[in-house]
Amino acid sequence: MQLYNAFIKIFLRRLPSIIAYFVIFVVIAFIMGSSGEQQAGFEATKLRVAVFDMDDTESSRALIKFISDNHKLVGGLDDREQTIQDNLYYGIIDYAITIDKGFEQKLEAEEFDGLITTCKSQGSYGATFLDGQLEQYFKLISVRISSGDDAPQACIRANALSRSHVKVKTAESSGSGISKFGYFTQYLAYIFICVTIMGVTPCLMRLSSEDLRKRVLCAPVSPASRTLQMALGSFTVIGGIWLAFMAAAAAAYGGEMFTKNGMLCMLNSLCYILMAAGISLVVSQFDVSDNVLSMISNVISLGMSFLCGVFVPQQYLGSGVLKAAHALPAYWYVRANDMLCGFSDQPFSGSLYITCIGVQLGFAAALFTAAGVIGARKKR
Amino acid sequence: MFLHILKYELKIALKNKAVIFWLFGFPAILGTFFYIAFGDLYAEEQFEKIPVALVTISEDRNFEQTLDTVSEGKDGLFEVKRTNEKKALELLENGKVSGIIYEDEEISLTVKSEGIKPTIIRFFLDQYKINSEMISQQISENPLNIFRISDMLRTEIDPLIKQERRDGNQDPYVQYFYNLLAMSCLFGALGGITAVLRSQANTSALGARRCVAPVSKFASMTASLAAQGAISFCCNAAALLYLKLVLGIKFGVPLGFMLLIILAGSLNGLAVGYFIGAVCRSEGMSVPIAVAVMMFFCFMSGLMIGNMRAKVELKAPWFNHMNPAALISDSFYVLNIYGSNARFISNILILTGMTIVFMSAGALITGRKKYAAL
Repeated sequence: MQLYNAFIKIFLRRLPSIIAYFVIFVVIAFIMGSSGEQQAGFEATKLRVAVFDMDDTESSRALIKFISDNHKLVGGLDDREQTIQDNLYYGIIDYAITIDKGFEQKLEAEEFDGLITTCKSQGSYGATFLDGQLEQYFKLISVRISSGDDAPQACIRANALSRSHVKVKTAESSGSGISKFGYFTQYLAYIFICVTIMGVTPCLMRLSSEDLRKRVLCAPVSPASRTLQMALGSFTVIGGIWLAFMAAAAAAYGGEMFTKNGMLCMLNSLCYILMAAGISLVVSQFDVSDNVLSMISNVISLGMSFLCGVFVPQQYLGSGVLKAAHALPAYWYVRANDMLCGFSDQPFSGSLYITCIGVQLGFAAALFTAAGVIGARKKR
Repeated sequence: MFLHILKYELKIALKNKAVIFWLFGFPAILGTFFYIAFGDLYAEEQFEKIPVALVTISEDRNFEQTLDTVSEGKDGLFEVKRTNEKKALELLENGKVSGIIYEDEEISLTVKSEGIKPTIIRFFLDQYKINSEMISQQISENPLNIFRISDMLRTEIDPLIKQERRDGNQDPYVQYFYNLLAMSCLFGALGGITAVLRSQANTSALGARRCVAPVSKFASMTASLAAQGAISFCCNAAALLYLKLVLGIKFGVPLGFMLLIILAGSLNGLAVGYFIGAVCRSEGMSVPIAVAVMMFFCFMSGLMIGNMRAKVELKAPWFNHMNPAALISDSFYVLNIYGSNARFISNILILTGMTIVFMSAGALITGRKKYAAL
């Protein structure tokens, strides 16, 4: 097991830098996980609305109550134009409302034009929706005031009327209650490729460097044993990386991990890291510097993540992009993860899960073969 | 001597085609992927008719008339498909409609999942229900109210003063390109590390020769850094031109200003790399640390999650002021939306200040290292 020991020795020598990657990427995965929870509401029923109440009367408070009953109020922002613009652009809020001074007085005087100032993402569904909702609300108030109510009373009655809803039947949600761990595993699609290319590839490159390779070739070790020891070394390191990430996840989301869907997510990530090992094996066949390696790892990991729906959910990507993404392993990883964690409309299907896992393993096998072929050609 | 070393540094850098290719190819390839992934997303978010299926169980003429009215014309709210329940469920399952409206004694809705389109359908139905209930309520109070209420509901009111947003490209996906350019600039750090490694006797043969040569360390290091900075800036500028002219990304920023930001960003990346290289002393350690730190900065500025910079602004605004990636991407954003203003100037000044600090710190550390001390 000389070669295996050498592999582990090289890996241990690079351990401090691998720990640096591990720490940064674990931090990124945890932050992404917590951001993912908030992102899930982006296109959901409730919009994020910032309200600035300059009138501060019973009627304006009733309006805020109406908005908070139907949407999510976002506090802590100031009413500067720049703050509103920045937060609308970055999607922190979907809509901003300023209740101008004299709001209640205008209602009492039955002036229903220009009551509030709004700012929103132009042309989006959410903006159109809330425009209509507010206009309807003020129409109800106008009817109540013309029937003899005073402004605060009319607002309260309009609020009560607005609570009347039609019956809505929703197809059963495929949610599994493992959303936090689900977001963590989702982003592993990006992180595993970065960590394996930056962590494992340099060890493999070192072992296939001319000096070391020549020494190994003249040693009394059969080619089969050589390949086996190299593979064993790679799997030990890959397994170690996977276990380290799972241990970090267990510390944070222990309960969610050890459910049926949680375990299936773990298996999915294990298959994915094997595929990532295949990529790192292929990359190691090319003699590149650490600088170039970091750029290659980012192009592969970020490119595949954006095309396959790791950062932007698959449901928002265009159909052409998704069709092309079928040819990439991360697509199948994310699809299985979405299904298991209830991030998509897809209910759980055993056959689809097996397909996703199978495709990833197929990619892994293809990459290992490709690495073998490139290696053999290089030797010639 | 400075020019002599600069010339040879540039020659060495230009001969390393792999590095040149990846310095340009890295943002260009990723930019192409971004373009493929986000090209149409903003256009698709613009409002268009919501497809709904209408299943009639018991006819309600008033409702049908209302539904037809709101669906009329190009700017209508819905695209109505009148069909039977079986076909409607099939359409819903295949995503061809966003909801099924059941027209019965009591109107109801079936949707596949929650989302803004089903919510708008529900809102329309709620509105119809509320209006019907209100009319019934008013009639029960006084039957003569029917005419007044009908009049009032027909009367258009305009309660919202709709404030227009600023000019500039409001497409939120363009900020991924801002962050991509920021990352590309910060990867100039690898050039800074290379410059340090080539100057130290214990890290490269070239470094050993340089240490014994009768050349001032300052001139040698400055020339080396200038060459790396020039290469990094040129590659980033070429990538920017590719994104702007070939892919047609609408940055909303004049080219001159973009090049200025890229110059400030590239120099900042170079300075950070120089500092990390000076502290870590070996390629094996400094490259991973630089890459990990840069990726963290880029992540916090929104490279992976678009609104991360804004989230950080709410919780820890100070971090955005010391994160070079956030400063670079914010400079692009500010120029796009507001034009050149105090915030843009402050971003560039902070970036330049950080560059000076890291350069000085790096020079202080490397300047002290003599051959005998290594």
